[in-house]
Amino acid sequence: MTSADVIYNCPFVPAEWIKAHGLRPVRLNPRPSWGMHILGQIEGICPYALAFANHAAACDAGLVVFTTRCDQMRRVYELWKVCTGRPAFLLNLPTCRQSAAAQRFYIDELLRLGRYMEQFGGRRPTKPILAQIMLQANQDLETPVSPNRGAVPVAILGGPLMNTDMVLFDTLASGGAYVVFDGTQGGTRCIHRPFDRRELCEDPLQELALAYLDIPDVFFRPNDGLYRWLKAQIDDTAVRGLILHHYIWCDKWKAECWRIRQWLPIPTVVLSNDGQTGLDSPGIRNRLSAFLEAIR
Amino acid sequence: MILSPQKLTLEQWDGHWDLLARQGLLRPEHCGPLSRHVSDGDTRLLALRFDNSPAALQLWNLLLTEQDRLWQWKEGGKRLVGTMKDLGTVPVMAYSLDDLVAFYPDGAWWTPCVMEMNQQLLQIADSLGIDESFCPVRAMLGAFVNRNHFPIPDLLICSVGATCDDFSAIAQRLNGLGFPILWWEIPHRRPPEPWEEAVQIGNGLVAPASLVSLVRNELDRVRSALSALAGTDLDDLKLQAAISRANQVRSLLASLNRLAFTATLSPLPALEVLIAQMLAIHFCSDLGKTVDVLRALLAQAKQRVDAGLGYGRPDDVRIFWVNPPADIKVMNLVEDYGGRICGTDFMFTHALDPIDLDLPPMDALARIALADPMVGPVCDRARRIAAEIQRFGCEAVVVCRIPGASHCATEGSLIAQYLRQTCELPVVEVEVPSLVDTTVHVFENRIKALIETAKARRRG
Repeated sequence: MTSADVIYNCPFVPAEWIKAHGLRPVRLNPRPSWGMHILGQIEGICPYALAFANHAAACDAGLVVFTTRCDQMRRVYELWKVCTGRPAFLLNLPTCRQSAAAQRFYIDELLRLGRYMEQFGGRRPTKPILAQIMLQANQDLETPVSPNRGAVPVAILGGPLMNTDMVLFDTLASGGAYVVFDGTQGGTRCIHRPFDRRELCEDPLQELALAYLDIPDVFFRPNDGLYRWLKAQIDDTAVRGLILHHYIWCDKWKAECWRIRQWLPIPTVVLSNDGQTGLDSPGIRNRLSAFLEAIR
Repeated sequence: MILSPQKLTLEQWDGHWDLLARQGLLRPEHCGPLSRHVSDGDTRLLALRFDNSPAALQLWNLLLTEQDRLWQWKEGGKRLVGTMKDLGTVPVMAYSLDDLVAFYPDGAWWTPCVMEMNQQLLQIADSLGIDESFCPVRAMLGAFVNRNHFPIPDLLICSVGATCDDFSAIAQRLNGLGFPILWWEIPHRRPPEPWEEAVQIGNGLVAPASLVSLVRNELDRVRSALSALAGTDLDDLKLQAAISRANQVRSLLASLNRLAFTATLSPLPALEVLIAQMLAIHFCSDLGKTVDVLRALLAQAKQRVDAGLGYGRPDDVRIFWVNPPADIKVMNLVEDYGGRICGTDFMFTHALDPIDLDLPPMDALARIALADPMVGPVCDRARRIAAEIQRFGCEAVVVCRIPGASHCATEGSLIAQYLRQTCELPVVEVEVPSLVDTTVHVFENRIKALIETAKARRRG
């Protein structure tokens, strides 16, 4: 880590905007806190929010960006300020994304983030520089992985995973499953759509903001966009089962579990993650194994 | 005639009611004895003790008849607005129009307490996947499903953004169950940047002008929806008039609080002060009656103070209470243990602050909405609490935790930490479930320990 690094975790922090300021975006995939609590251990806090803050505090980055996407992260930002005294930025995100005012609000917040980054060595980008970085980002967008013949097609949906939770993909693979789409925070759901070339030439920042606001997420009100995205994914794939992941204390994902299960035409298994035991526990492996066996 | 203050059980109140009636001290607005509400299911009343004044009776009757009143309004042709989460702003707009009545379905969060779980609201929420890891406001979901607690509103309006995740998630579930909701954005209130235009939003708080503008635009969407529902234009003149009436309520409450928190003996019990404050958020669906009740309470309190009468003892420990308790019985209990509530922040302090009448009304409402203690940084809320602690001479603080509430864990700890450092007072955090009975010994131990600590500090 260097002072030019900007740590964040939220998919609504545009990496292109950080790059355009000459800084390095580092999207942190945190490790569980496991007793290493720079911010203290408080019962009732989302383990992911705490893990992100603890991990970020252990890094030697120039700046950490939190967002208001959830109440827990908003308040962990305050805990960060009190406990570390180190610079951090709280990006205000609009929840009612459909209104023009909300879109303007998000753009204003990005501009405010930009000015903040300038205090940490960032340079205010010109339109062509931002446009160039966005065009490059279009080229870097992932292409879908080819189906793995013979494996059971499953999908994952839910909140973010910690770095130790990536074992979930190994567990699924060893159980004979193939992930057709990853709808967690680190997966394809949270990658912005390709930027429109014409729009980005005219007003790259606006196009950047609109593309990011198109990410279907559980926190928007209403959150129909998430369901539309999910339906499209299911229609486009031969997915046979959904693994729904949420942290304890994550109200937004947990509240949707019931609705998603009712709404989906395919079997669903819910994994409640306490952020400590992780997704590699015998209980979860056994649960997944049974689920895969049932939908095979 | 000045009644000597006395806390009565429900049974005692019935006898007292007969006595007051014989003495001609009751008027039609006092309705009937409180015990009639028990047959409606409000069984928690049997566990409470109430102030013995006719004014308090009027207060309780106003509160406990709200459900009937809502049905009457509906049957009488009024349009009902279910406003959610903002606690105090949208109702002022709705009450600008004669044909609209606003109420908070969120208020159902106290139903499991008042009706002692006998309505199964939490079980309904459980069955919809909203379990005990969520705040008791999940009872609202049950109330919408079983339709026993309030008429389904003609319009539902919910503020989202810098709000509790629990509430936002539950409201979204409600929406998913087929109840249309008008969402409006209340952004996190942050301090203005050095280069930004800053505006005063009340009580010493400042916010960026851009945030005020955003909220004003959002409230304009609400205004349009209310106008459409009422079939008449909600203009600035009507808003000004409603703001004046809301300010009247806020002014009465400010006077009542001042008396309750500063008199040598408390002229009203903490429980009645809590209920009175709740009237500020939507006037219990009747603005006129709310003003009458508050006037009566204030007159009663003044009489008692002038006569040197009140509750408790002068050496009771003066406690500041943070957050609303899920079980209102604890307000009785704190006083039993030798505490006296001398300051409160029940999460809606912005509904108690006067709305600026010198500003264009939508601007004034946007500012008061942004002054919500829950949308701003914890330090803002803690600073206000610290100032009130100083103003009312509090000696100890209770940070009440709401089970499952997403904000409580972090916010409560930060507030406690701030107050310990800034005010150098003893602080305890205590979780209060919807029915405190099974954990009452924990509550008692923590409050008594706090009180003993505060008393020991007096001895230096």
